Amino acid sequence: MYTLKNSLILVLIGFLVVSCSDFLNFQPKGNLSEEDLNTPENVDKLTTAAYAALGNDHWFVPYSHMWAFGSVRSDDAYKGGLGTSDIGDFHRMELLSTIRTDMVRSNQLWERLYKGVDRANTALKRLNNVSESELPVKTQRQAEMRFIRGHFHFVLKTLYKRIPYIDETIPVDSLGSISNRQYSNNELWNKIAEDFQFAVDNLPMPAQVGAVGRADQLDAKAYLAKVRLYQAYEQNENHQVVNINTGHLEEVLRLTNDIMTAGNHDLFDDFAQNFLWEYENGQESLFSVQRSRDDGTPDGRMNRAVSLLYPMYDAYGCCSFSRPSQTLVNAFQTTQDGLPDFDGYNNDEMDEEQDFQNNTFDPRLDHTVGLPGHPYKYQNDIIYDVADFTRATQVYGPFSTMKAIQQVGCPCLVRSGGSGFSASSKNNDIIKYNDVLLWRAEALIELGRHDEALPIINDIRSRAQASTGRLVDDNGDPYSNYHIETYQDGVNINWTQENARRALRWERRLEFAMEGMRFFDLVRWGIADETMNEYFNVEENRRVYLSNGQFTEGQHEYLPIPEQQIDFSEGVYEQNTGY
Amino acid sequence: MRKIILVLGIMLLWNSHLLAQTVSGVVTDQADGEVLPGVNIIVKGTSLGTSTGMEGAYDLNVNSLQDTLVFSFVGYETQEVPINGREQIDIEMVQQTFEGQEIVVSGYQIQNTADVTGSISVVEPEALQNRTVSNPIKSMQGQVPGLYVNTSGDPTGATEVRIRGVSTLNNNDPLYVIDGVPTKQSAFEVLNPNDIESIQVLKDAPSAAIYGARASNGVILVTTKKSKANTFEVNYSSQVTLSQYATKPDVLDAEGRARAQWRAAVNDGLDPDQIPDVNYDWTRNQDGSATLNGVSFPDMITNGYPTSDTNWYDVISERGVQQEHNISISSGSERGGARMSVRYYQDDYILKHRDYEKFTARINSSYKFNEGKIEIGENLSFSNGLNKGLHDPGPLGQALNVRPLLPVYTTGGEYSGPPTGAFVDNTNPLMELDYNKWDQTSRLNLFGNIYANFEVLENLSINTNFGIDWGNSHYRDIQRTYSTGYLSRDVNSLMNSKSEDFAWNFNATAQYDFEYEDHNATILAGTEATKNTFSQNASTREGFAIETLDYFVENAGSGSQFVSGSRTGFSLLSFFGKVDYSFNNKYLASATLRYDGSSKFGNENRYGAFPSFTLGWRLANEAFISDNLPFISSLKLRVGWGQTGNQEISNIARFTLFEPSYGSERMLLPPWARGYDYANYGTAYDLFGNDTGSLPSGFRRIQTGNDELKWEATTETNIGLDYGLWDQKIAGSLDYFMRNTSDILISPAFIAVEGEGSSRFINGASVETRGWEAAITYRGGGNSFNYTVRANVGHFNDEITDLPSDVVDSYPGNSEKTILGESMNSIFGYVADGIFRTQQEVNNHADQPGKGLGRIRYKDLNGDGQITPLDQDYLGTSSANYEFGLNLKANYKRFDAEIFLQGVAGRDVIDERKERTDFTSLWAGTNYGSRTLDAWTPQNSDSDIPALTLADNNDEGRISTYFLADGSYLKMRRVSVGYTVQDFSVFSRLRVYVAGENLLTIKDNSGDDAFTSPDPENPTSNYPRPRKVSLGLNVSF
Repeated sequence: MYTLKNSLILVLIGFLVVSCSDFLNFQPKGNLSEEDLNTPENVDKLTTAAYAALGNDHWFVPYSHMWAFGSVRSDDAYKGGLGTSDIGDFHRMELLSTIRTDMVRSNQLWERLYKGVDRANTALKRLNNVSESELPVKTQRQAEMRFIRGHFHFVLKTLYKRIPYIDETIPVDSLGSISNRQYSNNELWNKIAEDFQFAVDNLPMPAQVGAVGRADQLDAKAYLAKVRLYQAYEQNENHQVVNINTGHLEEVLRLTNDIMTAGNHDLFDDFAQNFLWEYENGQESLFSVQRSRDDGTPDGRMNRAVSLLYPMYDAYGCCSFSRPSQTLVNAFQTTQDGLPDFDGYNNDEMDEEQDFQNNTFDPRLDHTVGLPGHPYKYQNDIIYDVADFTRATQVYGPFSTMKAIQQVGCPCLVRSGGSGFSASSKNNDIIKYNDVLLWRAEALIELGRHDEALPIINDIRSRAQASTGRLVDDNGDPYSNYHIETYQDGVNINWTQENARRALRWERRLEFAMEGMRFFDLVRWGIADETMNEYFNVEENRRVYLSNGQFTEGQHEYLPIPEQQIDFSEGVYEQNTGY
Repeated sequence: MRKIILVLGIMLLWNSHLLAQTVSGVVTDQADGEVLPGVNIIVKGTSLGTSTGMEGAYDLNVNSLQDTLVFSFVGYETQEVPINGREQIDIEMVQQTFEGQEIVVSGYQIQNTADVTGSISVVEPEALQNRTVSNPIKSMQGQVPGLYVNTSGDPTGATEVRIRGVSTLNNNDPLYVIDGVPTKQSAFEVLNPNDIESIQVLKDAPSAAIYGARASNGVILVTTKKSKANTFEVNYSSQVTLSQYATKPDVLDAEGRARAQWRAAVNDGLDPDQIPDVNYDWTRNQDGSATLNGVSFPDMITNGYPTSDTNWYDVISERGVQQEHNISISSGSERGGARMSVRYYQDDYILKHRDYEKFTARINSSYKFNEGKIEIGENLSFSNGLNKGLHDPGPLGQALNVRPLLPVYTTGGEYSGPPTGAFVDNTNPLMELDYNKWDQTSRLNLFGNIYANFEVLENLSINTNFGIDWGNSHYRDIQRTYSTGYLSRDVNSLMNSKSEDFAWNFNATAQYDFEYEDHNATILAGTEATKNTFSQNASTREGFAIETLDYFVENAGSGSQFVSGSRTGFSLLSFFGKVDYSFNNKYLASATLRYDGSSKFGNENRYGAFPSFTLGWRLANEAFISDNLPFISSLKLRVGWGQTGNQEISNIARFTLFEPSYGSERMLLPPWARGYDYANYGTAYDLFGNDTGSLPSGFRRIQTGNDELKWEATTETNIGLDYGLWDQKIAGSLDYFMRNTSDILISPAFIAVEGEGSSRFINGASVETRGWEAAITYRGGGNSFNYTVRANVGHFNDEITDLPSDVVDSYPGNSEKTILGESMNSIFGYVADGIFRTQQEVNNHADQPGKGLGRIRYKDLNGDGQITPLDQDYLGTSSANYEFGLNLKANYKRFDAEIFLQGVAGRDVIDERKERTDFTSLWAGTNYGSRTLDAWTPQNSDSDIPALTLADNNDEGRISTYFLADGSYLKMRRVSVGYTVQDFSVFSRLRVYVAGENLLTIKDNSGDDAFTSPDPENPTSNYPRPRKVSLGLNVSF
């Protein structure tokens, strides 16, 4: 009996030994290996994943809407929220003087933008190995991926200036040793432009694309124009604009002309349509980050980049970030000619209900800012009350932002489960037609052809002038006292290059206020230093906390390369000038 | 249950009346001749028994004067005495030798402690009983030197266990082996403290090497009680405990909060009159300073929200009640027997709507046949833990955040919420507890083994063992709708998540004992196979018309539904052998080799070999000791060297993997989950601009593989000494160890340009740990007063000795200072050099953005005239260098008493709560600690608390010595007093006791080192350990 049992055990042991190679071979469940991804279908899906990266941002690190880095950091907006310590890194960026090299949010921003670059490169690597017969749209997809890569590099470049440029040809092992100084500032622009040029050459026109979310040829032309416009203002090592490159400006003209003559895009009749979900992907929109709801994902692929911007109003919830500055509100004042009050605009504070009746304003004010006593977001039944809509009013004043907010009744709007943070499925516009027009005007002015810029700027102003249809209360009275006119050379303005430049810059300021563009415009124009310090000088009497604000030329034009990344690079990355 | 006890009792009584013949006598201690009360006497092979009374005397009715009596008493050798017709039998009991004669389980075999040459500590099973915790592992805190147990008040009993500190950078949990079945996950669940026969802790690699692959963090061996031959025993114990939240943080009341905010506003140059919901009576003085004369509040914050003065810690807490009931029945004969036990434990925790229940049942049985040459048996336990209510300690943080001005309920009787933007976006903490009270996790475990042992030859035995470790968890999460203040949830939902983990384990060993003259040897060879699988499924349904517990069933929902699921697993295959040799009972040696294969590694490095060697020398048996130093009763020197492995990485770490990430994970967390790094990794995109409907989706890389991964190896040398003096009146041990862990498995942080999913496991770092341990026991007294003092202390230091350059950045440091040479638990940060008290100090200081009067001054460590990240340094280490325990036990006649103290020293703590108790600038809109009222002002210039401000321009939340606190403490863990009676009614023994836990804590309360947090043990963990008082009862029949 013993021998029988013993034999059984020996057999069992023997069985284990024999089958051990199988026994120890455990395969992952529910995952794909690298090889699984090489089918044409799956390669194509990788391109979808790269598009998804465009909208993979969230409220603490928004990058599909640059409110924190383009508006709060500029003279457009105060950080907002419950106080200066609510998201401290954004407060540091607002004051500029307290920016630190190891800010967590900045490091996360950098990381997530490079994840976007990586998704495009991951798709490109495999696209390059697929034949045209397997995947007929191969070249188009390659062009789309380079467009997306160009987008992420562009955003990184405008934030951090000297960045490592990463494409799909770099072996994985050497990614960490690519320096942020491998290319000069100008070469870096050219690398980004190359991607968009490839997209221009290989993307079909909108009608042939078949999916509104995909990049098309006109989107690529527009983005390339934007890159060349930024590149045209040549900076030295200290971020000062030392030359304006006319070659690049000429290219801006060619590209914008192509877009204008293609006939696919035009300005909306009403400025408001840009900021309402019903009109997304409309005629004025070129490239935008697509958002969706009820899409099978638990929380929807919603626009959470701007969730914190919703005012405290009951139907919205929380959290009142990115608050229009007094300076911005004042900038919408017009003279009796209906033109901006270039010199005297910031003398008085326009903050009481009657101020907006006793003075005249550009109508875009009521499309941009929630003002005391005015209906909010064209909703005549919802009257903006400072106490209900704002928080930390004693710190950040009485105004609220509006463009990114959707109407209460919009089917696109969802109150997030368990929190006060609202979100909508309204797309984030990256490039709009009004932007393209004003780039063209800017290029013309800098080329000395400011006369040709005049009608473009006036088109923008005429549209603004006509955009009062939604700004009328139930009694038929306009929300504010509007008075806006076009520029007429020799009548209400002497249209010199200098005046044209000032008019253009003012126009951009009003047209794109609170859209996260202002700081990047100021740096491009080389006037961030004077603009910001003047802003701090005026505003420190209005908002006490801004007395600590200080812009240092040659430093604060860009964020510091995150210290964490410099450490990872083992010193291969060089810190930006001034830090 | 009660009926069974009654019936059993009656049976016992019945039996005793039938008997005629009586044996009587007196039991004394052999050593001092004192009488021994409470000695158990049983007629062998029957359930008849009694115990000695106060004078040590006994009377026992027996069936026959040819029976055999069994005398047993805790701490004494059990004696079997044939009656041989006598009617008077006086017995001298011999005290058990404290060290040396005990039997220990040391890994696939049983050894005499005298022969043990590794560092093995034995936990007294008694120390685990009658404790007010759900699992006995938690009670091991402070019992054994070198075993570090970090616990919180978490009612589920979650506990961190470390043996000899930390040795690796990833998982440092020890391996548990319960009745021969290894587990890393179920030890906290399946053990009933009353079932534990013995616990051994294999601390060093020389003794743990036989467990090879999973032993590098040490091994804890647990053996459960079996029935004893010829006994019948029924034991019952019960305990009721009241617990109290005794360490509530000192937060501001409504007026104090208003004063702090006023001060901050004045300091910032803001107009305090603009602060909402408060009316200040204040004046601006001529010198520019301001004086606050009074604070008042309007009646209402907004409609329905009367201004209040709520202490939220009082609101969310209550007096806790715990109860526990145990019963065990054991019956054995010469050929085998069975022992059954049942335990019910319930903890109604000090937080409202939080409750934990656990039910454990066990049946162990064995049977010998073929003249005892074959033994088969099984050990099986069933446990079900039920964790009810909100599963995270969030409300304890919210209670600090939410301002006292907020009422608990609105005038309409609804829960309040933040009524205006001036209040932080936290929900009402009481509502959070109430609305989540239907959440629950039930965890069901089946754990056990069947075994068969064969005595093939006189010296050769074969042991086989098959074990299972099966766990099934069911988590239910119900989210209710609410609308409180500006926070609301519009959609309710039900989530059910079920997971199953199953492991089986088979091992077989053959052992040959060899004896020739003075040579003794044992040879052991064996094999083991383990397979683990884990699977999980979750479903979510939204949209329930009625919010009752009964209605929350998937079919009743009408909204969206989501499902998710995953599967994983691993397997291990091992071969091992061990040789023990002793010569002349003086010289001991052993060698072990284990060869392990794991599915976690690629083909090239799949197998690892783990050897160990030990030597022992029993000096007390040498003539030069016994002749010259007769007071030495035992002395053994041990030296060992060994290697163990670690494979605690993801089961699929070696592969490069992609996954579709359509968006199955919820990204939205409750609003108080502030620190959460909201990240979004979706791969789905609305390419067609439909705005809704199903989306095209792709794949993302989630990890990068490494086919060259290999075993992490720990090499350890241990030198130890076991000693006993004056007939073991004093006994103890000393150990010194040096441990090197190399090829540590680590998934380092990586540079961002490598992109998504670039995390990969590598064999990276090396860590060296050195330390020592000491344990000493003194037994004293005599006559009717006896006492025992047991003390232990353990110390260790760890140091990272090697880190590849691409791993360095995963650890605290900067471009100039790396963690090399520091403890892996180092705290890295700035040195806070007091606060600026004069403008001159501000001006003279280095360039520090945001510096100013009353602000923290950071030291310019590198002297470059500016404060940058390079001015950081290693400030301390968060792991305790010393941990100690002191146990005093005494009994006088029928009374017994025990005091147990436990503490740690040499630990630094970053006290994150200070961010909220000392600052008004780091958490906006919250309540603050009362320390803020003593903050620096020009008038209160001696204060070390920075001036209050609402703007954190000086970045004072950065890790600095300002937040560094001394984490040392000494706690009176337990005090108990008991009283025992014998032969009372139907009971053979009855003991009642009162016990108190966590009654006293001694910690550093001085100056800036004072803890602002409630519990020094877990300064940043949120589950407080309550103060407890228990009343208990132990009875035997």
